[in-house]
Amino acid sequence: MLLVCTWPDFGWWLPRIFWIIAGLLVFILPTPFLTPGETVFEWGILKASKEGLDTSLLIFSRGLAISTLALALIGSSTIYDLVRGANGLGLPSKICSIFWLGFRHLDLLSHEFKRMRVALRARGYKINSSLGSYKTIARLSANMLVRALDRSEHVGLAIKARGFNGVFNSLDTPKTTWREFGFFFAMLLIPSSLLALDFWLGY
Amino acid sequence: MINPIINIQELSHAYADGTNSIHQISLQINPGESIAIIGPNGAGKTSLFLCIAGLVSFRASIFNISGINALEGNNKALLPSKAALLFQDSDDQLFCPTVEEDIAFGPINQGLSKAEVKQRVEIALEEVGLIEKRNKVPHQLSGGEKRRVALAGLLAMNPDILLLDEPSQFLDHRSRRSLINILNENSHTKLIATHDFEMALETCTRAILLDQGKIVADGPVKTILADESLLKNHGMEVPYSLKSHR
Repeated sequence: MLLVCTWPDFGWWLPRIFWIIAGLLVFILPTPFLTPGETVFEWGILKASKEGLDTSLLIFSRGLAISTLALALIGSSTIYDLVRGANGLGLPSKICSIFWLGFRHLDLLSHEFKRMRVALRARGYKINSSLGSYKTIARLSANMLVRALDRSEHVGLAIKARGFNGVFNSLDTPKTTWREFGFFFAMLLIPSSLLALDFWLGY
Repeated sequence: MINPIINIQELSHAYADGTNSIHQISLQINPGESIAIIGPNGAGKTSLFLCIAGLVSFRASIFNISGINALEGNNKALLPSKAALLFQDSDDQLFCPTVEEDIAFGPINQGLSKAEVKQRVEIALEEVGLIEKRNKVPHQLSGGEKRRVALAGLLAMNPDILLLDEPSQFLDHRSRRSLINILNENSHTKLIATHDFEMALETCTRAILLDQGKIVADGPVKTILADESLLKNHGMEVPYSLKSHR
C-alpha cells in the first residue's frame, strides 16, 4: 500500500522504513530471550523461547503495519488535507485548528531557531559540553518560548481580525476520484479475502 | 456635512499589567481619508489599531466605526469586518497552505457563498498583482509578496477601513514602491502607522502624531512632517524630501 501511495518516490519512504524497523528491533530482539517457554535455540547463557519468537513476530508485523499505514497517509497528503479530512470525519474543529496552527507555528519557530543559531555563530559561539554552553542553550530555549508566546498572541489576534470562528472552511471542496474509489475497494478486498480464507477454507 | 467613518471620544486602553498604552484619545476621520499615524516606538499606534479593529478591550465614551456603535451589546465583534488590520509581521497573518486559500480565509469566515469568495479572491489578487502566485505556499514567498498577500487578505474582506501597521517595514525598494502604488490606487479609508515618512508623504493627506498614548498633533501631513521642533521633541526627524525643499 505504501508502495502504491508514494509511487515512484521510494527515496521518501525507504529511509523512514529503515528507522521504523531499527526502532522495532529494540523491542523484538530481547523478547524471545525474556519470554519463558519452549526453548528453540540457545546463545551463550541466553535461551530463546518459541513463545517469545511468536510475540516478537507479532510486535514486528503489527508495528510495521501501523507505521506503514501512517507513513502512507502522511506521504500521500499534505498536513492541511489531513486536518481537513480529520475534521470531515468528525474530529472536533477546535482540535483540528490547534493541530493546524500548531504545525504552522512549529514551522515559524524552526525558522526563528535557525536565525538565532546563525546569530549565535556570528558571535563566535560553538556548542560544547561546558557549563557556559549549556547556559547559552538554556537562554536560547527560554527566549524561544517567550517569542513563541508572543507570536501566538499575534497569530491569535490576526485570525480573530479575519473573523475566525473556530471552524476551518476551505475554498475548494475535495471530490473523491475514481482512482481513490479503486484504491479503497482494493484495500477492502485484501482483508476480506484473508477473512474468507480464514473462515471458509480453514487456513 | 459628511458623517465621520471613525468617531472616537475619550478612548483609553491599558495592557494586562495595567500600563496605559492609550489615554483619553479623541479623533474623527472622514470616509476616504488617508491618514499617517506617526510617533516613536511605544507611542500607542498598534494599540489604537487593535482597538479600532475590535481586537482588544478598551474604554471610550463614543466609539463609532463605520456606522457601528461598538459600545452597544456585542457590536465589537462586528468591527473586524469593517476595519481590517494589516499586522507588522506578515508571518503572523499568513497560515493557510496556498495564497488563494489564505486570501479566502476572511471572506469564508464572513459566511459568503463560494462563488462570491472566489470572485473576491480574484479581485484582491488582481489588485495586489499576485495572480500568478495563487497556488504558492505563502510562507515561501518573499517579504514583499507576503505583505501583498496579507493586504489582499484584507481587501478580500471588503472592509470600509484599512489599518496598516508599518506596511513598508522590511521591504526592499521595489516592494515598497509596489505597495505605495497599490495604496494610492485604493480608495478605502486608510490609517497607516509608519516610521517611513517619505511613504506617508506619498500616500497620506493628514497625519496624527501620537506620543505616550496621547494625540500630540493632528493636521496636513506636509505641515506636521515639516515641523522640525515638533518632530524633534518627540524623537523624530523631518524627512529628507522636506528638508531639501527648504
